[in-house]
Amino acid sequence: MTVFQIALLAAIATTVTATLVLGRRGSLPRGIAAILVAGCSVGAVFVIEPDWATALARLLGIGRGADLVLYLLVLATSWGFLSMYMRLRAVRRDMTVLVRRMALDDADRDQRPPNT
Amino acid sequence: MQSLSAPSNLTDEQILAGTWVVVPVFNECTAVESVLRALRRVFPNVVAVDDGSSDGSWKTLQAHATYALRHAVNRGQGAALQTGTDFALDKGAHRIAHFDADGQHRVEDLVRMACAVARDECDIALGDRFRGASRIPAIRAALIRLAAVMHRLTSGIVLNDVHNGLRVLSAEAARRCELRSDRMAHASELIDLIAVSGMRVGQFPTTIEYTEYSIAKGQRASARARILVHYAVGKVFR
Repeated sequence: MTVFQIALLAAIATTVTATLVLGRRGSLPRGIAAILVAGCSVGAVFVIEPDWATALARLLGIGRGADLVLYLLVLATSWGFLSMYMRLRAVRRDMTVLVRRMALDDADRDQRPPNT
Repeated sequence: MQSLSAPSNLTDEQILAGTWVVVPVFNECTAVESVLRALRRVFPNVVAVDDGSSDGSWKTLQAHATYALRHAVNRGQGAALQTGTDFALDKGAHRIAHFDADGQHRVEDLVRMACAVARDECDIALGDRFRGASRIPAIRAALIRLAAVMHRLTSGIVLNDVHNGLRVLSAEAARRCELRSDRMAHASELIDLIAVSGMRVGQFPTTIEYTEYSIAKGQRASARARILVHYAVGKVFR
């Protein structure tokens, strides 16, 4: 096993551990945790047995294992960005509701007579 | 100011008092004072909403608006308009007017539009800068025309000018058109809401003062283009 393989496996193991801990705490939705663990497992297999990636790539008509991994990576990051973007939108919307509510409550509390 | 020649039973005073003017303000301390003074000379109910300004705008609003409201954090013009609208409706407004804080609109245009809505000529009065005496910079005019075409395609509504900040809505129309988008896309959102609501729209010639200040403060062409993209993305991910 090369140094790179060991480093990659360590990184993958850390990610899986973090995912499991977060999933157990409930701070990561179960579905997303499961997808992350599955993705990491596939990655670990490809790190240990690079030839399997090539074999699978040939099977799918892609040719090189590295290309297959690259494509999967592109898909995963796109999905990650999209879900992050959707969550950000929801947070922004909630924040607007909150800020507007506060402004109206403050105005009601002040209720000072209009300056004339 | 021209004659208001009120409808059947509304006096001029009633029309003006029933029209609550909402002025969204974000870092406009140089221009907003004279805008509020001009409005207050005619309209007794002016609601200024400070959208998290970091300059002295808030102090100016407290001194010169009938009612001053404040967003703790900047949430965009659409949010500020909706906050002011909610406030005014709660206080019993019969009509809601939108008026920009940078001095680009004319109070007499607003009076004419308020009268039209009060007389029940339409439910929503929108400003049309192409029929007023505005001297519109060419690039801006082209982008507005493009946006108008886009709205015609997406919501089927035919408007001469879109994204003009001068509007008057009847209370009923204002209740039906609740703005949800944070940023500047609210102008587009409002047009969609109007199209769906089936309310009667009137377009009124308005003159926009394109001063150096308002152009500098206004949106750059790139920002306008970006808003159109945001709006399109929003349509997909609703």
